[in-house]
Amino acid sequence: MLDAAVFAAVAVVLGGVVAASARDGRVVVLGLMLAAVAASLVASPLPGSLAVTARILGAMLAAYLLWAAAGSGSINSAGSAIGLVAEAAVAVAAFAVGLAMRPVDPLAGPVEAQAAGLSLIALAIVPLAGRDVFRMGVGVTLLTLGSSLLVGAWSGPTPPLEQLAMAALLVGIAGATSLLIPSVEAVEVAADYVVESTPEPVVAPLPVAPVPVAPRPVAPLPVAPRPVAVPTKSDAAERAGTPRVAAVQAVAAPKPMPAETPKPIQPILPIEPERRPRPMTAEPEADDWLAWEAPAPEPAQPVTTHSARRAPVKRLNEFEKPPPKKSTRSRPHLGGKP
Amino acid sequence: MTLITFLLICVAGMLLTLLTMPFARLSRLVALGSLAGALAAAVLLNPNDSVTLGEVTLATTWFGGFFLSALAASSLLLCVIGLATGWPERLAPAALATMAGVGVAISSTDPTVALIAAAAATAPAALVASRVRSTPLGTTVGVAELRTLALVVSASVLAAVTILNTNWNSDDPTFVLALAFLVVAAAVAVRSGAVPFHVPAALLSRSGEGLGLVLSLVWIPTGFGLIALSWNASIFGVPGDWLDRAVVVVQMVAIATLILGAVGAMLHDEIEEIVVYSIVQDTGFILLALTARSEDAAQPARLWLLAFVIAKSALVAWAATASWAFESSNLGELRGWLRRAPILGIALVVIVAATLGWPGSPVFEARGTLVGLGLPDPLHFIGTAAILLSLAYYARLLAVGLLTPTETVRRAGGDWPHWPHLARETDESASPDGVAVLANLAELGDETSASDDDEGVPHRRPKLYLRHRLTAAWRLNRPLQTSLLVLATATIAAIVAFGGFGASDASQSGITLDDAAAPPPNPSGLDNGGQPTDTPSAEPTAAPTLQLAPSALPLASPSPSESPSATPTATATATTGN
Repeated sequence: MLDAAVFAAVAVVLGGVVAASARDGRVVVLGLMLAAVAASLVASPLPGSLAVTARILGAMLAAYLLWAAAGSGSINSAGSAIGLVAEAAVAVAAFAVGLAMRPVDPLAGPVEAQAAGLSLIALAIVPLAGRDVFRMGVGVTLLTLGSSLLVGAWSGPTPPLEQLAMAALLVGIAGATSLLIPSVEAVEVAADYVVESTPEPVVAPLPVAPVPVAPRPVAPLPVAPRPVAVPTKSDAAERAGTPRVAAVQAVAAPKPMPAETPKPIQPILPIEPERRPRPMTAEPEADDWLAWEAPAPEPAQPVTTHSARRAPVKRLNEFEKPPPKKSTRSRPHLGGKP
Repeated sequence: MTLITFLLICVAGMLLTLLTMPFARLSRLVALGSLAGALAAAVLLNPNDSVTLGEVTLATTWFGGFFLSALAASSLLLCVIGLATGWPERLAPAALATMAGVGVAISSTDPTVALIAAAAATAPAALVASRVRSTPLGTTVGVAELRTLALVVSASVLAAVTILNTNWNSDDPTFVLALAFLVVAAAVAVRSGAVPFHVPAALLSRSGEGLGLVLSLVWIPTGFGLIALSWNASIFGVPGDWLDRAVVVVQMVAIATLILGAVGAMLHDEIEEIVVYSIVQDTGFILLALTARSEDAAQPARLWLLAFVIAKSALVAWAATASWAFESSNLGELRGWLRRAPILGIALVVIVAATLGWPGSPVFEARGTLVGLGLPDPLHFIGTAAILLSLAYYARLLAVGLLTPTETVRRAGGDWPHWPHLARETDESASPDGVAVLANLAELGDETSASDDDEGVPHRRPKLYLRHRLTAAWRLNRPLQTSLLVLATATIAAIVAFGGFGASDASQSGITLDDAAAPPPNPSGLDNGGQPTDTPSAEPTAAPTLQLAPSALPLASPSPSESPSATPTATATATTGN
């Protein structure tokens, strides 16, 4: 005949799998509550009613705290990183191992408690390895529940004060998790921060023909050197190190050309580095249209510089008659209010 | 009953403070009242008090009461200082919750209850860390806090099942002990920010936590460390290859913490970071107490923990006050701070004395004993090096304060006393509140006199009475008051560090768990030589809680009037009848 501890252990594992694999935060909380309530019943003999009540109240309070955090909308959990089936397989495998192993011989508690405890600890590994605060809190809760089950299996029945302390610990973990879940604004700011500091391009690179960097064999010209678009000093200082400058400088650099095979002059194609995808920066350049959508028109900024504060000067051609100059003399004061 | 009163005050105060948090003034009042009540209850704890809940007895000891009093006094003083420097709204409830957890942990006779309560006492650190949840640091800090919590829970449970005299089905049971020792030491190291795990502590220092740093880095690690040290000599004292290897690992962490913590304090320019690395460095002595595994290390470790709690609380208060008074925490901008704030300078010197002591003083001897017992002989110079490095960064702080004041420092008034004079109101900027004080002077006067200025434009000139001037002077001298509070905290730390207030006698006695975790005659199938016996006991022995008779509790919690025993283990062994 099956013991009640067996059903409770199965419920613990089921709740753990749901908590570890569900996407909806509220389903996760329900799974945790099921596991926490059932964990207090995986014992032989069953603890007293006071201890069970304390554990159930603690589980409900912890679930409420997480439920409130899940309802705030700041949780955007992607669910399990390995999927529901894999989580369930891990849980079942750990449960089977727990049924078979005997680290403590003889066991002071039911072997089902050991199996369920190992199963919960195995389920907690994946959430604890991630960086989602909510899922990490779920992992800590599962780890705590699993550890408490192992203590019950290896050390025997737990006294009521220990149940009370465990309930307080579960509430503390849930409260800490609900407090540490980043707010929506923080998540957005952090996402922007990551994008700004990521050196990889945001959009997929377009297929662009490779730019010829090596000097091409060009016949010596009898004319003056072409005005190749050599960057100015300030441009070079600003864009030093970019592939474009390197390519242009490589082309413009005087190289000894072989004179024995004169060929017709080939027009040097302009290098178009703009078509090369570049990593997204915080303030993309205006010509970086491939990787940047047109920004919204900014509101007019107040003129602050001295030169820009002047009125725009209308350019006159030499045939246009200039307008008459205004007299610089001030009007005579005629009295009254100025 | 006194212990229950203390616990009730802590829990009720925490809940009320959290519930009244939307009402700022009421929340502050409740928080300060709760902390004051907790301090009074801790001071009045009866050393022989005990209460039985189910099968577990909660019993108080003199040292337990002293430790709780130190925690409560530090919390109260920091929160009062926070009234001026910026109210740490989450520090008070977190401190109350931590004190409740530590109170249960150090008074429980059941190791499992003690360890679970100690683990629960670490959870309120999230309350302080959650202050940065709206910043880009929020995710990183949250992940670090929860991982630390997971490690602490795992360590507590593993230690609990290890010391519960279970029969491990293993050829070498010391492997389990070594694993438990390693995990417990890792929990202490991670929670206190020892050097390989110091990144979360550094993040906290950059997040503008201010006074809240002390909870995460001092109070909680100290409480957990006190529990971890309880069975250090008894359970982990058995020889074994695995245990020796684990001890070597912890020794390496301790050495790195002692040296690199001080180097970090010397290299940083923000005083919050300097304070954090100073705390990190001194937690190395807790790790050394763990590696000592000797009864001789128990008393110095307890005295060091007492001095550490109050001295580092004073240091955090000093940093918060200096940052607030000069409106900058950068050491480059704080040049000349000592000239403008001499009381803060005296407080820093007292803090240094309380932390390091001098040859012959109890705290100095305690540090030396921990180094001597925790490290092998060729590495004893590490203790001297740690002292010299500590002196170096403290001297740097003082030397910067003696330089020519910067504009930032000159603009602040420092902690010199000020008296409000209307004639000097144009150059009054004695404190960040000085401008507001002078702006409110006109509102303070009940009657105003009308007069004409040089252009004949009439204006209202405030006419101040003495009580108005006293009110203005009270507000104008906030830096002076805050500096005096910091000095008071530092003085208390120095007195405790030098054995005053009965600290030396209290540290002779331990906590209740010291007796409960006394080694049974044949733990884990090991004989006294640490070798496995031929026939390990097949039946699980009863839980230690059942072995400890309630009638033995007064003997297990010696008071100073009774015979304080340096080896409480022997007393417990004799009374448990094993």
